[in-house]
Amino acid sequence: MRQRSDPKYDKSIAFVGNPSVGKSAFFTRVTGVGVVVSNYPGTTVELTHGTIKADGKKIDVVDLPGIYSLGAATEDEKVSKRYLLHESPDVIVNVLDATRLERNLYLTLQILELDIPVVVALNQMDAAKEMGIEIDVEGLSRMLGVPVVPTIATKGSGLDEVMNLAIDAHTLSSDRIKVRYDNHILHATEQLGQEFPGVSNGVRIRALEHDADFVHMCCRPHDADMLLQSASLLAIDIEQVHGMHISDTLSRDLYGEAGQIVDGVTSYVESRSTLKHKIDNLLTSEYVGIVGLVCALLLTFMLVFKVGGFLEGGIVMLFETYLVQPARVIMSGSNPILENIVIYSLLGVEAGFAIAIPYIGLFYIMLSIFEDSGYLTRAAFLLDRMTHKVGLHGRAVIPLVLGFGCSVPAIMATRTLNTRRERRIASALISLIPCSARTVIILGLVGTFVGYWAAVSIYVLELLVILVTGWILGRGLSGERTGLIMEMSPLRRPDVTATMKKTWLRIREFIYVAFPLLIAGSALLGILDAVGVLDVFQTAVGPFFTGLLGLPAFAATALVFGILRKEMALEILAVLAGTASFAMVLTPLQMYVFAVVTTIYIPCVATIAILNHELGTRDTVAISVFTVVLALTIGTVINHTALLIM
Amino acid sequence: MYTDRIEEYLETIQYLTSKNQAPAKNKDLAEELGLAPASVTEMLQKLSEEGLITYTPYRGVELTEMGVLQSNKIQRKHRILEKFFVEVLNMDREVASKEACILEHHISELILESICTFMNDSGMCKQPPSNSPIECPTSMEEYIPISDMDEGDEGTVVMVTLPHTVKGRLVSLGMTAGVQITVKRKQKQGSISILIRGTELALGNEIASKIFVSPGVSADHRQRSRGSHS
Ligand SMILES: Nc1nc2c(ncn2[C@@H]2O[C@H](COP(=O)(O)OP(=O)(O)OP(=O)(O)O)[C@@H](O)[C@H]2O)c(=O)[nH]1
Ligand SMILES: [Mg+2]
Repeated sequence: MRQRSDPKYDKSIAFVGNPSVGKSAFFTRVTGVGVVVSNYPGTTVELTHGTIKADGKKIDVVDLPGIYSLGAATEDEKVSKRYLLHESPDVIVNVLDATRLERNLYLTLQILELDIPVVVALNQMDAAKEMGIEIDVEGLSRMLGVPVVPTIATKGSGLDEVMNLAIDAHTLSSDRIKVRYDNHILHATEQLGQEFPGVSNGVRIRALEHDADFVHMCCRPHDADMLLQSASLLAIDIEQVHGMHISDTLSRDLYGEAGQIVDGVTSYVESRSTLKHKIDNLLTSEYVGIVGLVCALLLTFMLVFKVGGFLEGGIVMLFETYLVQPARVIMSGSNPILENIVIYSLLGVEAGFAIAIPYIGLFYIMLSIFEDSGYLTRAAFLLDRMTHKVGLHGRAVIPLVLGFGCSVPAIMATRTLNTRRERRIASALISLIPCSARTVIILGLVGTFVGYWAAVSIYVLELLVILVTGWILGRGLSGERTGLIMEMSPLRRPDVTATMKKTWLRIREFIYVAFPLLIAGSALLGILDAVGVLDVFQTAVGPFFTGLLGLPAFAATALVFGILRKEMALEILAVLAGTASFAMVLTPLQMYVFAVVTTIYIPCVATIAILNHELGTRDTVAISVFTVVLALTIGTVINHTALLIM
Repeated sequence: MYTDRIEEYLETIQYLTSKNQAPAKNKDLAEELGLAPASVTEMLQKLSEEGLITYTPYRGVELTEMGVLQSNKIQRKHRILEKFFVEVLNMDREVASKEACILEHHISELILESICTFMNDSGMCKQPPSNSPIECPTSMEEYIPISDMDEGDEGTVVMVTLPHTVKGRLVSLGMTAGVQITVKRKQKQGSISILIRGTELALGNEIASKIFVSPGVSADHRQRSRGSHS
């Protein structure tokens, strides 16, 4: 863990603010480090470091998950809190959403009580203008006693000024705002200040609220205990006098101050855009909302399937005619191991380009549109009641939808849920959700060679599996139950460049990680095949495998590779079959069973790693074993029922 | 219903006489109760027939000894209930007092004494009621949970009856006592979304049913909530 001042850097600057205000957009612009920017609260769930150089100084810039206050926290918010208090950045850039100033100021006022220099970036000025909100920036700066800069992170305006001010910020200005707390509170903090000099006012206040976590994070253990003890005595007296919980008094005073500031600096002019409101209301209306959701999903898969299938066909043809066939001709007659290595790697690359990239790329474009339009929070709202059936609440819809993209960030996104119970259920379900890699198999194999509706039926089957699993987990797992509390995102028109950037960010990961793996795996396969190991393996598991699932023995090898990455199962299948035209080597039933089994059986290596990190070994083993058994069972049932019928 | 009315009259008369240190005027009484003077006069006649008040034309009404006893009994109930609400249920004093105004007419001596025993505070339960008048508003607006509101309804948050951590989360999202909210979306028996401090907040039914508001708009909040996306 990095302690207060890392010698490698001259300075550290952290972006702090409410969720969804534009911290990550700001961070990406300033540092050039790609992080995901999306229009729903809780996009960022971990720290990201970036480096900038200014005047020969090396500066560590940190993007943090959004927080609503310095108090109560979910896992992702704890990451921010811990960084802020434990490692304590040299300067805080507090990013505010100008359209939601009053609520944003609640956190700002708390941050200003920590003894760290602050520069305020008043972001989303364009959105505020559109809504008819005008803010007196200078007035705000005067009232807060720290620099305030109007910014538009998505367009990059004002960012340099913020960074320059932050780089130059060294000392605490003395005319920083002091919240006009109730007299008893002021008196108590003063007293604590005398007893514990060197402890910032923010810490004293948190001590009065008896936030032990917080105090322990920023003070030495012994001091922390002493401080908490003195504070709790004072707090009891204050609560007696007020007849209310001290937290209520504090939040009342903070919001009172925030409200006064807003009244002092904001003016409203009439705003337009009633069409947006109409659309917005339609999206969450009782029936239109649900019908719309189902249509949107079907449309997404239809589009990914049609366009993806078209691209797949074209790319396969190009590869076959211009690369694979010529290579076969050239290599024929040379050393068999060498021939295998070359041909197998080429087939691997072909499968990667033809099968994976079109479907995954298109799917991420669609996901990005869902994320950036603000639709995800509306879907969460709409599905709140339904998610109760699987022991969750509406907020879990967001990680679950992300699971259609990739299980790894989706499981990380469960950090935004309230309890461990919710995180366990959601993570288990995410492992079952067909991620984009599995979509490749479903659409690229079954969709293309069996039919679109056959592919859709796999999704329906998956959905049933998920619902039943969720229902069982929801009843079986004990633990505290909570409910949906979520800020709704504004409705926005997704930006084309932003969508492309984000899709590239995600595809890039695929290319950097998956392609080397794919080529190495294919080459290895070539060697194993040439020396005969493959035959031994396939003769060993073949009978069992064929008996249960009705699949050819080489499919078993493909499944083994599928553990590395799910879509590799299909790519390796193509390599082993010697072609990406699967209809020539497999029956429709075999393709169907193969797709079902690969989508359900054991999460990929990366998912297993993240499950292990987030939930621990026991849960990970349980999920892995459960999915393998489930996949084999369902595959066997489908195979044998179909054989009986036919 | 009828005893409610009588008790309310007695209380109001006692409140007015102790406030003004003079018999209560018919007109003031009508105003305080929010009723027409004619119907007040009619009721006063009944009360006087039952020997609870003395009614002198042009001077006003005063409670008889019996009237005072009865009124004190109600006030005692009120104070015990209020104390119970504040100290045991941790309710806000103002909210507690209002709720006591309703319950005081319906609670039996049996429950009252059980509360006293529970609070282990027989001293407070025995001592005669203090002289500071209790004010019960006549047109009591009832507090309702957000889950009972409809799209477009407005209200002021009075109380959140949720565990401390959940409450803390709501507070950091702007939910404090006294804040003005408007319901924006609602699903039947499902989630509900409200406009609060210029942001839109989605709440599940289990959360919304634990947040109580007093319906309607208070004047000083009108202005600020105007800027939020309606
Ligand atoms: N109109 C407008 N939109 C913005 C601006 N800055 C950010 N956004 C949008 O606001 C949304 C949230 O941006 P992010 O950068 O992901 O927000 P964040 O603060 O990192 O959010 P969390 O990671 O959830 O804490 C995205 O859809 C951005 O495109 C801005 O200045 N103007
Ligand atoms: Mg972010």
